[in-house]
Amino acid sequence: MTTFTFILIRQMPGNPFSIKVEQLMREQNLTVEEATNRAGALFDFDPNRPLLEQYTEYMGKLLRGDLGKSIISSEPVMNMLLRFLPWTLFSVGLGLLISFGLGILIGMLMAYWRGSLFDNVMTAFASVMYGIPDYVIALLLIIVAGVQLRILPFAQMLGGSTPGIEPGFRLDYILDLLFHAFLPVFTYVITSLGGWMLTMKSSTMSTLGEDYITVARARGLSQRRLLTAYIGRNAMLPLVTRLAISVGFIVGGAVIIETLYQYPGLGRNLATAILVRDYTVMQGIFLVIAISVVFSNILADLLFGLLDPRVRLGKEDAS
Amino acid sequence: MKRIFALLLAVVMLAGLVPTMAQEAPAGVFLGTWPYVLKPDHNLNSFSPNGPTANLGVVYWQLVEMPAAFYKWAADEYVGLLAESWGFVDGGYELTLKEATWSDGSPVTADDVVATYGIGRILGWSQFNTVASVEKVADRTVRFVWSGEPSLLAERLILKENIRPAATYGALAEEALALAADGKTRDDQEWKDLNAKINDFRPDALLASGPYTYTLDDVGDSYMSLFWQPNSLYSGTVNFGEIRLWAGETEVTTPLVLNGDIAWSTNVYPPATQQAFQDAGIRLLIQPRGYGPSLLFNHDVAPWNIKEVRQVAALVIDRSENAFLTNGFGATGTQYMAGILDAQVPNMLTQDVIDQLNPYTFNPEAAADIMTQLGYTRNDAGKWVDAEGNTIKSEYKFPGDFADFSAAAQNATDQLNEFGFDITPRAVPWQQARDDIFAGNFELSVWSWGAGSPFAFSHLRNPVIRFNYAGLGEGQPGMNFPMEFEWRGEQINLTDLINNVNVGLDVAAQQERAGKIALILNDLMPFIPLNIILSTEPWNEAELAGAPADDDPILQNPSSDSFVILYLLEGQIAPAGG
Amino acid sequence: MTVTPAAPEVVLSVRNLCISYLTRRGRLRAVNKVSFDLHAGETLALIGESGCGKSTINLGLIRLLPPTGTIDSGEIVYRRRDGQTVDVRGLTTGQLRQFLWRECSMVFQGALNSLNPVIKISSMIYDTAAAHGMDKKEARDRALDLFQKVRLDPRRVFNAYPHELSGGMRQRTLLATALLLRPQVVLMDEPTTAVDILTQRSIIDVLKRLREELNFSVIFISHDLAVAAEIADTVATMYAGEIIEMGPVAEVFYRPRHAYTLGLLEAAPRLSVGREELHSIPGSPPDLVEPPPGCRFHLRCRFATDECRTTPPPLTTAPEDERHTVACYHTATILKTRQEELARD
Repeated sequence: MTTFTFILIRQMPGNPFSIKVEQLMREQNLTVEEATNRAGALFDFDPNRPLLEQYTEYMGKLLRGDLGKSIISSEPVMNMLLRFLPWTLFSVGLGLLISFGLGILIGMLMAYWRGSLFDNVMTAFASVMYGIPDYVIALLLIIVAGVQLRILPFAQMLGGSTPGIEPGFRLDYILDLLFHAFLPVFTYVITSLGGWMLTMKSSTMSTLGEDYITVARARGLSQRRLLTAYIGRNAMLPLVTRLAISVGFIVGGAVIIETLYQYPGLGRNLATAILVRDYTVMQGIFLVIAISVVFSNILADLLFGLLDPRVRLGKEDAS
Repeated sequence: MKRIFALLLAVVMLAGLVPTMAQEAPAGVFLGTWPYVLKPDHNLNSFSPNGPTANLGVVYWQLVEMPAAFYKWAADEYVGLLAESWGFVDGGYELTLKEATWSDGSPVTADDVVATYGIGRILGWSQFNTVASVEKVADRTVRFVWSGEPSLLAERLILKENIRPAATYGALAEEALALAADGKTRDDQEWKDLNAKINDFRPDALLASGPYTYTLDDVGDSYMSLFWQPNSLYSGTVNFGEIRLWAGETEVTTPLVLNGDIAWSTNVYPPATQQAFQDAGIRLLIQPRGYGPSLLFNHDVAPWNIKEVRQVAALVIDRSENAFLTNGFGATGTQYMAGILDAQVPNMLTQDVIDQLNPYTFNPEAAADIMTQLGYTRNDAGKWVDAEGNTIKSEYKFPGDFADFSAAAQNATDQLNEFGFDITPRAVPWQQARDDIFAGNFELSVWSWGAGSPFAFSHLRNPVIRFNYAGLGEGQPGMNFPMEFEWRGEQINLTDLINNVNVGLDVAAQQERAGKIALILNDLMPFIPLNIILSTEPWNEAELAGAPADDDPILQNPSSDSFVILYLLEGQIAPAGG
Repeated sequence: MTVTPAAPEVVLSVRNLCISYLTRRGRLRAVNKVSFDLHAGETLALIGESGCGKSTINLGLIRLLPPTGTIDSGEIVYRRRDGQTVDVRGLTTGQLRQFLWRECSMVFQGALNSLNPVIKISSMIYDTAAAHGMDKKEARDRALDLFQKVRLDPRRVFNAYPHELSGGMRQRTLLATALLLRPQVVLMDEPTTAVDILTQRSIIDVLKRLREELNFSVIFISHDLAVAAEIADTVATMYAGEIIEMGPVAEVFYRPRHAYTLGLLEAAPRLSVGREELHSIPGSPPDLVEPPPGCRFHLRCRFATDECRTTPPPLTTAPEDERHTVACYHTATILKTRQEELARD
């Protein structure tokens, strides 16, 4: 995996040096010589160094837990990951939890009241939402709600927190965080909600046909208990795997949204790193993505076990 | 009695006013944008890649670490910012600074200039192509000693360079000067180590000679703020207490401009967005950008190695149409076809040369005649074919992610095909498109021509040296246009001609040299300068007052020498209605 | 209230119950004008082929029909221990929830599928108890006691997940759970179908003992005549949604008066005889969306006459026993046929 990304990243056209030259020329109207001169002194990167040599050095450092330094800023990559990752985990994680929770609830009610107006409206909503890419939602949100209707103070909502606010465990800071997280979280919720709703609906429908639901009804259980422990919990089982897969894509999935909302997460950082071909930073972020995919699979197994005792004991049906 | 009362009142008012003027920041907030990098990459070392140079961009950086002077392009004159006087002296160039102070109250002196260039030498600044040393002559005067032929370009580089504080960089500068005195060069390890050390240096604070400065605490995720400081020469004239720079590129700033959260933006917006800005009542300031798309021929690929075929291509592309599709209001078709951006042609060339230039006015009939003379005939499908019946097939490679270049290339393809060539367009990522040009791995392509420079040299070398074997490394043929040839009975070395075009201080001689090169390029058409891209910067007059009128010559300054620098400092730009 | 001193009181009285399902082809009358009384302590076996409507009656009695099913008409009256009568069809959803399990519980077929796989047996017990206001400790004690009674290891089962129990254990667990709230009536839908013969045996034994001990009434649904004969007091034969014959178990088995009942008896294997002469009933049950005119069984009936083909036979009472009712025109012929068969064995 690391080897693969290492090679792939370096096969991308352009290198940090030539891109910096182009950037200096375009942004500062420097002439080629000036731009080349300045860029040459700016970073310690030799594009002509043999790939194998670069690779051996990188792997050697990686095994010692050293992710190296940014080619552009010479900031340790680890520092950057530690700074940006929490934002992404927070926003995408929150969005995922909310959409999963809401999707489960609505999907279950859709199945429970299938054929009702609620079911029909929600099914239409979910099908439409399911097909719209997240960045379209983001742009619509900004242009329609922010610019045209002016019901969303989106300029103030950009970024992860209001510049200058002192971080700390205080109500005003937490509210500020939530205020700024609203746009990305809302977008993630809207785009993934439809999928959860539809999957949960069909899963619930098949659960509703199970005998133990009829038996539970016959036992006079309260509606709430029936929906949660009997219908919900069983219908949710197939969705847990999907949730875990989504967790794995938390980091990778946020690139465009974080850029549009200027959210200071790993996705925006990745976009920047790709733009300037900061190889070491890209490698660091891809490593985080790989690790999170592996972790989410473990998480899926654990979660599945927690919800389904048949899996927890690691043995098949006893009958 | 009345007079005493009036006097008393005046004293009271003065007493109240004086400290106010000295200490209180103006109320206005200037809402701009620049794609700065976030912390922890963001630092305050303006010699490093992610320091104020990159993070503030050319315009805003001048308001923090000011350069010696500001250049007015149309008038060809400098306005001193930190510089009081400047000029060529025997064997060198002298610069005397105004009595200015840094934001900590210490004076700006010759030591600061010496330190700046001490480090600049390690970093390989192009000033040292002509400068041998920088010497302190008096407290506020430095002398640049020439190593070679003095030039106006060298002067411009000196006057435009931002002066950094010795208080911050002095220690590094001393090491640098010691190395230079020891006779070390770029190839010595000490030199490389110092270069790395300079890049890694992280000052705690940004000393400003301009009226604004900031700390890392002022760098947010969505915007960063420059705050007014009282100790600059210009602290008393500026009208804004804060300059707020929104992060992000075009897609992020578009809604912010529409919403009035950004009053002036330097991003590039597509034609449809430009229209939306105008519809919203936002003015577009049209300024030169200093480049345009050009059609690059690979001279190893037949028939593009034939001069007449290239001329035909130039004749059959309607450059106005091409310009409009390239960037809407923000582009004009090339008029002079001289390898020098149209705006600079009257300054750089004599009228006599201008009159001799072939304007390549759109003329398919004339082009068809040339094709017939070359032995091509039109087939049933209207395509030109050679004696064997082969069409003129080529692939036109362009960077799909640059909206302007790709539109220019696609329209050029359409027009060439309309005339009867057989061109296939092909989009690739811009990094690859450029690398492919370097490697000669293309048939037709598109890249920039011209330059954001008042010197013919920079214009003329792009792209004919920059994207040609002449300016590229080993194994990189580029467009492979032969630079040595016979032209009108004379043996020409185009590389030498271009490299020497701006040598010396004699403007008339430079015009003459530039004229010859322009005529050669105009005749041989090694590339077709399709159009010239202008910047269309949205400027919200509901928020900002003081922008020049559309016909004001200062708008001939390209956006890198934006009027905003001067007008902000001098107080012409103010909050609207305030 | 007029109660005959000799007979135990009626706990569940069903009159003219009609249940139909909505299908693509139209309305399907799954249960047609069914009436019966269930007395205290009585076990009523509903016998019939699959699809005859016996399970539908069961679900209808506790109003748990699937969404496509509706009770079209009829009365379901339940008499509580305190003597109050309850009109089951008139209960609100909340009242129904209270009624279920406390008064009338159920044991379904398919023991594995009847238990929620993701929660422990104890949770299931507590859920049931909580829904009916029984406190946790009482529920636990009661459940452990019942598990003991159904010959399970109480503690192990109580803390187990369904998949940790064998099929027979699960069935007995269900049985014990059904009795948790001391209901008067337990509906049992093929409780012995999915288990092996030994397990079946033990379940029947347990059931018999429990019934004696706890004195509840049972509606026992089965296609298995032998089991029904062993456990039931009263047997009702169902065909095409109708009860076509009902009476005390010995009466119906030894003196059947309906051709269909006779057919079922002939189809049942008899271990007592060496000479095997199994008759299966030819044909298949009729289409209930468009039922045949006359007697619904006439298409498959060897005794059928023109009368059978046009007019549905009315319910008549057997002269020997007033509790024995039957809907057939040829009761005498059939009774005679059965007597001859029994004599031959």
